[in-house]
Amino acid sequence: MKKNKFLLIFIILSVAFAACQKNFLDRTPKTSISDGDYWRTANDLRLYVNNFYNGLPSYIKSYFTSGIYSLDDYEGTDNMVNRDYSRFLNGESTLPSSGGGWSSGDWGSIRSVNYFLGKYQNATGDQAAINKYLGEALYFKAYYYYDKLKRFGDLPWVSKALTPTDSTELYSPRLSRSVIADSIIAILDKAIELLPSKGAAGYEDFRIYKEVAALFQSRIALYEGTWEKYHAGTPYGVSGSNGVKYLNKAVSAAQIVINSGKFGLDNIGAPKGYFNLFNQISYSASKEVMFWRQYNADDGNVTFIARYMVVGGGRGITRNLVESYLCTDGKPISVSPLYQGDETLVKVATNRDPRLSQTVQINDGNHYLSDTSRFWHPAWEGANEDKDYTGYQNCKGLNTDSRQQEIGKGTQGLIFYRYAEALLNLIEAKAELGTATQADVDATINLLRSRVGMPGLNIAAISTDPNWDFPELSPLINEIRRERRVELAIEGYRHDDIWRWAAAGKLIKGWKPKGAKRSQFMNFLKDWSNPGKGNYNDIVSGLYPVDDNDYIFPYKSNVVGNSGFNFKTDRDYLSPLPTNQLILNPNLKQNPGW
Amino acid sequence: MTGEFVITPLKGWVNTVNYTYEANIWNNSDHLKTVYETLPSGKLAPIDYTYPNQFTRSVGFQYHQVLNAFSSYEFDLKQHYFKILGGYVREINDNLSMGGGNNNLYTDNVPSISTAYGKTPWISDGRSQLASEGVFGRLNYNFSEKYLLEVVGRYDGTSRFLADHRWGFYPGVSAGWNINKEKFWDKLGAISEHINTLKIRASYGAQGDQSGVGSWYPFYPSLGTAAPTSGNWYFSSGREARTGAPGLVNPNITWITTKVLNFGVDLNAFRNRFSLVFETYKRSADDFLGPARDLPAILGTGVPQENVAAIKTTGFELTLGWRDRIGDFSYNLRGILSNYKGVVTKYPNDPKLISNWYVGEEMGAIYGYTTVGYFTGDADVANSPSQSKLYSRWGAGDIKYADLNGDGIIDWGKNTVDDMGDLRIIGNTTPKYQYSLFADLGWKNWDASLFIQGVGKRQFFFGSGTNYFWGITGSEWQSSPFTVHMDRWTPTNTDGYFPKYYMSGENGKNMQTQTKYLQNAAYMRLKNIQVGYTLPDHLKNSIGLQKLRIFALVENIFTISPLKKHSTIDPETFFSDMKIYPMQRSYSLGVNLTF
Repeated sequence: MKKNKFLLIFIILSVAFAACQKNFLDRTPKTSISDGDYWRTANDLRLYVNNFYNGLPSYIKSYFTSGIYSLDDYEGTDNMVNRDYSRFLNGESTLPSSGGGWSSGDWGSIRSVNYFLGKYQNATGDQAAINKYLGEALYFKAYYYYDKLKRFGDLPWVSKALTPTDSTELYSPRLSRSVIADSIIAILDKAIELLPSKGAAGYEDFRIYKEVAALFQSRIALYEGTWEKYHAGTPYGVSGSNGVKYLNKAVSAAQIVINSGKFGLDNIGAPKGYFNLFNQISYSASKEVMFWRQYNADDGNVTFIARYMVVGGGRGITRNLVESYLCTDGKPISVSPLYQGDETLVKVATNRDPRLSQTVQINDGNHYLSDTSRFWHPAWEGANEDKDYTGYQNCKGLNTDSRQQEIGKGTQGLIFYRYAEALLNLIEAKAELGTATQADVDATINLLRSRVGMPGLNIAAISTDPNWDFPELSPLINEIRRERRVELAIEGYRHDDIWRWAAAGKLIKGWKPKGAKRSQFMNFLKDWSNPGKGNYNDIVSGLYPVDDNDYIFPYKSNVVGNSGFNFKTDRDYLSPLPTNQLILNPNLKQNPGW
Repeated sequence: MTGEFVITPLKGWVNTVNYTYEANIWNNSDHLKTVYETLPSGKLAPIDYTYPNQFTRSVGFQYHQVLNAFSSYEFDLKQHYFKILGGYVREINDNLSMGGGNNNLYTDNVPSISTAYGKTPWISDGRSQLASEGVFGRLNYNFSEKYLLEVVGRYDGTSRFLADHRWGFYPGVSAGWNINKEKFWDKLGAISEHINTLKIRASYGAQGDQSGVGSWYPFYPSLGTAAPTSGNWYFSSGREARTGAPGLVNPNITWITTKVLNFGVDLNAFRNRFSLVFETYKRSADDFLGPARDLPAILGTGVPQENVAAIKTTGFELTLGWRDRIGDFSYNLRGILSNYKGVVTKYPNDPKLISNWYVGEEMGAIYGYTTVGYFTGDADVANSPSQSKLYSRWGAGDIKYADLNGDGIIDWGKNTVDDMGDLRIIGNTTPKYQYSLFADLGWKNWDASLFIQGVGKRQFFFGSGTNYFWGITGSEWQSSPFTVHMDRWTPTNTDGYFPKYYMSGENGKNMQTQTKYLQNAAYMRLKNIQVGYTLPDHLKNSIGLQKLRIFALVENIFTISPLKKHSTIDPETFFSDMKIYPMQRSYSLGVNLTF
């Protein structure tokens, strides 16, 4: 009897414990999904593509950075410099053994798009929506690939989400940059075809649309076209190519944007209209800003840009950029009788292209740091990353609303694409092709000039500038490049422009960056109401070394001040591949000079 | 909770069924209160990072059930003893959890999710299971307790691996010989007189190991998912949910089979005052889950772990003891010394990149440059092998590295075993010759104990991220100079231990892994001392206690280590960036009472 009782309990326990006897060891996650449960509807595709938007650049929430308004310094240009000279511009880059922009993480975003491209066909239903999300994914593939093309030139073309057994693709060699550029342009052709036009059926704000893809395509085509033209005959060039097919593509792609008639310039003729283009919270009503990032303080998605742009950011705009702005008669400072010299900030901005005083802080009583404080002099105090280093302190992108400058309150929109670029891409590509007419100039550059009240460019009467950067090129191309530099200053275009024009040898090599004249900053009182507190002279003298002509000379005491940037034109136009990758895949070849 | 039934139908035949049910139930809540400060104006202002106030609550259940059923039968046939055991085990872990939270509480006095009005509450749940089952058997045999033999076998399956890779069979055999029970032992005279027991033993067996696999579902390619509230992109209707590509998984992932060959000796001598236990072993696995193999980066994702590495570990452990009593004085001393070495015997790294495992590599190897000293000035830099591959600028107070391969350039070559440029193996992080020493002393009612532990040999190199070691590694935001960091190169102190400092990442050039800053992390620590006094019987009986002992305990009394010469880092507490609370010395006084 006792035995039976034990047996009974044993059986009950066993049965209770092993209710699902047969598949006891078959366990799958209960809180995650796999491909078999997914890729069925257009919405599945939408959610997947959403991820790429989250990865788009943001204003960085840390000190020392001002988002796109520090790229001209960070990437290395002649527009803006840092307290410490750019080691990259000075030929001090070193060869990495791993990483260096070529790690599996760096290739992750391309894999992520390829994963989509291998799965989206399974989705059924709303075909228009499916096409739209496919178009978006293709845009992002082009976006990620363009970044690598600029950095490394030749690349492998990865057509699917690879697995460890795909040895042919994994160990493939790099293809010519022109093959990569063709592939990028081809997938953008497809994206342009699939994506809805702005305002058309299926269009949604804050999702990539046809004209954005077209503007991006014109950017890439102009990049590759001018790269292949100006690097021709060097190890960076593409043998047998003069870039013409890309320049033609740059024209037609820009025309898709322009001919849509859906875009225009903002703030035409408005006082400070150019300045106010870059500091808005929302661009929903903008005709010019085609694509931008929105922030939201309630959710804690904020930017610190307004807060950091009040101070100098450890940077400064160069004399070189300041001098490229024309006078209000449309003539360069070298020849214009209107030029007042650069003894003071006020003088340097007098009679100049109004975009200058809307890019550089001027102590004319009409420039503000915040809505309660005027700009009287550049930032001289605080931590190193707070100071200005050239005397020309940037104000492009500055929002003077004190509330925006509070911690956790900044919501200034981040511009990704604006219409002005389409105009500049079109006119430059046409000029490079030799087909630019006065009508083309009027429809592009002269729109930008007239917005700020500058006289138009007349092809037949271009003033010769003895200081043109490119005297060997046509006056028109010189003026188009000047216009591009001025209009897009401090927005992160300049580095790519110098690189594709093969102009670093001319603009960077041997260059010693300078700033404003220093004497003007002497005898500034620390407190105007209390002169007993003394002046800033000691601080200014310590912060700003000067050359023999009183120009602020940030690198006076180091190697760059001594002999100028030692840019290595036979090496530094492209980044090296990390040595570990060359050993893992012997088919990869290193970039020139490395 | 455990229940067990034992049925013994016949003498020597025992049937056991036991069942364990463990439930771990937890309930966490976290309340972030807004804290106010008083401004000079007298106004109250909330302190940054304490608003909005917030409340989160999470609850979870972890069930663990084990069912064991086994049967054993033992019998003697004259001097032959047999025991046979066979059984079955199954086990399941079942976790369930839920959590949520919100910010903007109506009041900090009533913290709950219901009393918060934030627009973006968050919620999550968890559910996971891990199941295993197996059968096992064991046969024990001995002959007059002289010759011992044991044969074991297990056949185990786990839900962690897919059906085709789920099961593994792990047999083992061990044998022992109690030499002192042999008849000839007694005839050995002095030896048998002094040696009380002597046993030698050997074993060889396989064990299944799944502990190297963290995930319970390593075979499952989960898509990434993220709730709208975690996003940072505002679409026209606000933030949206998003999904992401799954990582690569290896559906063939399976058990690691560890084979262990072991020899041992147990010896007691001198009237059992002396004891010795010695073990030496060789542990090997040829389906080991090493680090993921290197594939070209265009793969674009992490390589999953595979059972493709083979490692071999050899080691020993020696325990020596001596105990005795001399009148009222008793003592017991025991020391343990162990050492091991692991070598990679198979790994898919054909170019033998030293950044990953390779065949023949000893575990823990440190690759670094050999330090010559400091550059004395620009002329010294100009006349020395070029270090431009490491950094562009060098000058007085910077480290001069040795050009070991004589090519005039300091670099890492191909970063492979055959060409590592000027890198060499300069040390090993494996703790070698670990030892500990215990002593217990007693005299009348007094007792004392002491515990010493240490590592005989170990090197460590603190990377450039360890500002606790370097003092200054980058900008002012990542520097933490202690007094030891005053011993630094300056133009007037050219023998300083640490190199010239830069308030930037330029320090990195002098913080390359190298011999000068390779630390000898061997140490000996007096871990604790205890002294106790037990009240004599006549006293405690008078107050109605069975036992009363008073003791004093001191922990972490002192540490001897070459590491301490130039750093404040503790040799026992290595962590990635060493930013941990230091070890503390503690003093305790206590009373043990037994009623």
